[in-house]
Amino acid sequence: MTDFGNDLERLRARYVESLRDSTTSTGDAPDAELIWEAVSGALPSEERRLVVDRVAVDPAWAEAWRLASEIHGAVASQRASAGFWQSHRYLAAAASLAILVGAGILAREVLAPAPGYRDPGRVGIESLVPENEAIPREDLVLRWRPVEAGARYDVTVTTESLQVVSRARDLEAPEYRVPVESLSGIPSGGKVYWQVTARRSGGVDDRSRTFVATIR
Amino acid sequence: MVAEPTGEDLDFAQLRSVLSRAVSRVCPPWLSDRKDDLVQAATLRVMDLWSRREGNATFASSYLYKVAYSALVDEIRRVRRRREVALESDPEEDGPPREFPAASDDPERRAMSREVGRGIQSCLESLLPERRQAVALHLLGHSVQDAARILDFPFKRTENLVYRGLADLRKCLDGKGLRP
Repeated sequence: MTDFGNDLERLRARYVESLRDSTTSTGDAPDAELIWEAVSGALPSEERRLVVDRVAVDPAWAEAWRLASEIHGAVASQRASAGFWQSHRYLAAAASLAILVGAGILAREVLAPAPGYRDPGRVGIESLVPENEAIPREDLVLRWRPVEAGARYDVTVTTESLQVVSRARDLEAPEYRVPVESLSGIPSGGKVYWQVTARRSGGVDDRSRTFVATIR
Repeated sequence: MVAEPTGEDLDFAQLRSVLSRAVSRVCPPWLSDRKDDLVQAATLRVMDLWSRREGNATFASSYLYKVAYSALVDEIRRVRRRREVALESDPEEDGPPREFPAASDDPERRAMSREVGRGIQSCLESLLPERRQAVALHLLGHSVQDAARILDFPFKRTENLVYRGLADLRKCLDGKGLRP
């Protein structure tokens, strides 16, 4: 087969640029569920081709397809990686042992589980707010362990239905008192989600997982 | 055989990271600048669903990723719509600026590039359906092998469709006086 080489790359670049320029909200919204099913191969091939045909002529569908491909591809490779380590857990354990012994780390850490879907090596921002206790709304102070001296923090607090109730930026201290008036719509026993982004001195952001707090 | 992780095992930081990378790679700069908000909204949609599960029920992680993806597509559409309304009502309005070319960009070249892009879209519509599907997938970055899997055609047939489809596309662009 003749390879169009650079010409193909230019075509691809121009095509993708044009998609970015022209994905307006006019026309039917992309059917995200259908596109996901097509990308994941769950849709019968006949229907999959129909989806691809729509993708070919509708920039918004093409953008949604590219997003689905990116996400699905990342998930598949994570799963493949987890599968490799699960099926080679003795190899993983041996490799871990060699590294850890070499580093003089305590032998008990060798017993840690092999890498899985959750990344145990990543040190995230740690909440200091108990998740199992209801907190008086007038005293909701979100606290977390500081990541490093001089870091600044942004915090977003939302309801369970994703409405942002409060947001703070550029905090110097690793804590944020949520204004009581912003919690007026949350019933006793209701939950808020909160997340912290830490900006380190080197310009690297570190985002926490989303924590939960129960209000009373 | 690897057991699919359930929601109980799902790492939400990982989910955010995957969504964030996808937005950066796919969306235009003005939209990917808002990726934190987009991704947060999608992640929270998943958390919301997860928190409403009954009893000890769990969800397969693939399902949760699908929910996150759907939420992301909704959010992107919402932001695009808001931007269009803002630009229609007042170009100076708060919101992402129009994509002005960088100082080093040649406006003429940029305009030509856009015209070629629009030409490709228009020419794709004129291709025979199977060629159009194969070429579109290829232009979207899928290999021939990948396109064959998606379309459920044999490799050789897909290769042929891509080859002929690209030839048709180039001919159509030539007819419009456009060169990629």
